[in-house]
Amino acid sequence: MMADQTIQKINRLLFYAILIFIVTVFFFPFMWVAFTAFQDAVNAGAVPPDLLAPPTLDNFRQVFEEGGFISCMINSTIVVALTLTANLIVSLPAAYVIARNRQNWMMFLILFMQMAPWITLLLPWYIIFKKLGLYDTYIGLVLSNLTFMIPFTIWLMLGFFEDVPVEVEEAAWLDGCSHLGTFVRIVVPLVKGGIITITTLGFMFCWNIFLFPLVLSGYGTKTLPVFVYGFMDDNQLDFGPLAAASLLTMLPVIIFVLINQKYFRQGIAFGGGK
Amino acid sequence: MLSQRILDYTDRQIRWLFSAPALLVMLGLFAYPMFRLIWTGFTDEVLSSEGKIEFIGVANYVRAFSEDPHFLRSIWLTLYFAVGSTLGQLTLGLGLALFLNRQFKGEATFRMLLMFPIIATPVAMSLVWSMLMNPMMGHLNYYLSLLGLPGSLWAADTSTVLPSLIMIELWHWVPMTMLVLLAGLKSLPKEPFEAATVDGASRFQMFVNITLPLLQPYVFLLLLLRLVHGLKVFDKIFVISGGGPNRASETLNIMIYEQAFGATNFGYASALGSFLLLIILLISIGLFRFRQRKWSY
Amino acid sequence: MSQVKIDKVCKKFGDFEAVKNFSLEIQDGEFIVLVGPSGCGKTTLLRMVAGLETVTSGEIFIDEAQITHMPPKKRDIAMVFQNYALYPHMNVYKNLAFALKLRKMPKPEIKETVKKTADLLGIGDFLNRFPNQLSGGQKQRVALGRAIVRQPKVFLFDEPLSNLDAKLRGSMRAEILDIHQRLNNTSIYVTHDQLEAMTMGTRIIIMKDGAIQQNGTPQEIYNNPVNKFVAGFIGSPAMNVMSCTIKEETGNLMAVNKGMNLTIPAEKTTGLTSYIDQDVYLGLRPEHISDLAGNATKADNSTFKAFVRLVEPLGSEQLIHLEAEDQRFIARIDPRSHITYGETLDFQAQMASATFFDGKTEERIV
Repeated sequence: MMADQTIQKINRLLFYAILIFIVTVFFFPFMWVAFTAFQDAVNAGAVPPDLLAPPTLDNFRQVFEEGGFISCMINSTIVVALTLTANLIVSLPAAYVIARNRQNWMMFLILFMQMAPWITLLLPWYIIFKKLGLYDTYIGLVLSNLTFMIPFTIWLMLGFFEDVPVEVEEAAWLDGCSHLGTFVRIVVPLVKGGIITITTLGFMFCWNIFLFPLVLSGYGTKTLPVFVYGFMDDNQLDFGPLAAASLLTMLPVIIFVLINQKYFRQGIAFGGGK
Repeated sequence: MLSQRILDYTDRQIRWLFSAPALLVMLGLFAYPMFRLIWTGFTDEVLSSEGKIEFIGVANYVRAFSEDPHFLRSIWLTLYFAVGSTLGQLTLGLGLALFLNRQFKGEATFRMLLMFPIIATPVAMSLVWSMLMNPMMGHLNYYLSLLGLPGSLWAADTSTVLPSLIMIELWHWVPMTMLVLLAGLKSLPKEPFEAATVDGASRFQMFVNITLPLLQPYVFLLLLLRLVHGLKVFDKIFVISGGGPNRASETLNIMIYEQAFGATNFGYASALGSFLLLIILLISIGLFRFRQRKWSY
Repeated sequence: MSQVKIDKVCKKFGDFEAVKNFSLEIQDGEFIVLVGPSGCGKTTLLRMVAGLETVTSGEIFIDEAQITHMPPKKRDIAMVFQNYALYPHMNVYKNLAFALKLRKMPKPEIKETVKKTADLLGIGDFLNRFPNQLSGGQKQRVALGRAIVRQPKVFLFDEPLSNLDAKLRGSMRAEILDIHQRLNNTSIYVTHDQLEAMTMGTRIIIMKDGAIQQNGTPQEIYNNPVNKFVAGFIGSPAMNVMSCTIKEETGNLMAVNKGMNLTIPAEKTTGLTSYIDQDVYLGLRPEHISDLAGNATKADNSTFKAFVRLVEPLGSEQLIHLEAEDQRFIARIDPRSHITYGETLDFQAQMASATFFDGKTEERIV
């Protein structure tokens, strides 16, 4: 009896010990970056770290003074907002039509469009965008983001639309609703969960994307990830400001996703991620 | 009568118009560029040259396979990275999912913390990792020394750069494979396990004979998805090692980027891109066939 | 209010002909029931009237106006669906008000109309609830209300009661009829349940394989089924149908089967004379087979011996399952008769009420 209880206790202890180890491994970089971002030039690179060193905001000041940080943040915000809005307007109706007329070849195309490597799209885009004057414009960046958002959105929304009973739509038609009216007033409110999921994941994809803006944005529309990359080249080995810049870049997306955690997890579990 | 018929037909078919915007965007930004890519792969187009672009047949492909020793090497490096990180993600993800497939205090907090690597901006995290892996000032070597282990040059050495990158890739994505497999585990029907308990199966027997077969579709699907993802990874490698040192981590993606925007060999880069696209297409077909089978269960 | 005319309507899905050359005229205020086994095309026909399905050929009119190729929203038709099809994200009030709002009715008027309808259906207290907070019966009332509220020209019902349990079905049946009598709308009601058809329809259309089998009042159809299919489909328990041969003996026509020699009364013989020595089907409703228990009548040439396989006492009557040679019958008998399992008794067939069907075409002879 006693022995059983002891074994159980040890088991529990062991379980939590392993748990804490796992958390440490995956969460450690975040603790490090949050710590380092508040250290002065001497302490930031110190090995071993001085945990009791007084925190400072100098690094953040330096990031803001570097110039471009704020405008890049604004660029990122604009591109993300425009992409997500455009994506819903373009993808939801398409997903709805495909959900009602599902065919294998459509499904394959959508899958393949999600699979295609971005670098292969980027080569022709670069030439086309330059020709059409889309290089270094918000529209260009939004279009590039739409290319992965549209297939992803359609793929994820299909299930949501298929769960809307056809009879509910038919009832709306008989009630005197047009096709567009039925879609906007009846179908879209019923797939709200999917829309939040898409917006959450889309915020993450579009905020984090690096390769497209790296090539397609110039001085006028540079986004945060591209800024951080450039900032790294300018401040080699200056850990404090680099950590502060990293922290500031990822903070908005982390906050946004954590607010919609439930939907994020749903989306991840569904798509197996990108 | 006829006009009414036409009106009615239009009214019924008008819903197809709903897909027109998406179709237009995808035609313009996907279909046409794909065509353009493949076509450019047969030319000698050079970036920023206003000069004549000449059709040179399969010369770019000949060059890749017989004249450019780095091409075959980059295929090997790409496979090394993709297969290595896929297998790592699945084994670690499955192990963690099995370990965590129970209810415990602090589950919600734990899951929230584990979501951080997936969410955080990859470029920013790559920067953080490159600082942590700095051979001189980085903390990783310090912690290794605390454990009495020798330090490593990490991304700064040709022999350790790819394993280091794979390690970061695992840190980035194992939480996701774990969450997906955990969701799979939780969705398995209870009855087979209850039946096996009644039949007197041991925990190990249950795992081998029930859990694994039931989980197999999830695992296989994830395997293909992660493999395709691994073949496409760019951000991490580009930021942390830039393909170096000495091109030891220059995978196909990086090579294409360098050829196009560094060496401005647009035609050659497009040929390499078409090749990568073909590989992804083949995997997609396999994946699709598999999904179909799964759907028909 | 309105008449509906369906003229030679066909519907093909690929090679499959779901509805074949279907014609029907429905008068103002009629309650028509389309009944038939699943796959007989009744729902397809209803959906064509609603405009949810295109018409391959033929025409449909409402009040002389051609609506064959009109989109549903312009037809002024309301439909009650089997799974209710309520708008899940709207409360009951909004569900009822939706169509009125689309018609740009002023708000106070909407309020009044919805309230009147809700009171009529006894759902006035639920106006703020959402569909997932309602029971099946309440949902069906809301679905009815949504149809009634806009006073359409024609009501369509697509098996509206089949998702309800048996008891609720009975009371909803009465309620729908009650509403119909009050509002007197032209209605088309589709069901596979012959009991619903019998109790609700002013007229019943029996369908099979996309074509009308019989069109008539419930009584006509019950008493004079045009063919073996209708005879078997309407009535519960179904009509007993057995194959037999017509013989002539001593001036009388007899229906002969192994161990059974039933004399056909004179008034029935007219059509049958040409069938002498041919196979026909003899149909007898369960209530037209009786036991001899109460009667002193001796076994005569309209009686037969049968073995009692099963007795189902239902209170007001009892159903006796019989077996005579290879044939099985069900008889509906006075509950006071004491009949028990295992007996072999004489039963009387009331041949004056019998129906005969052609052995090949299965059409009714007399």
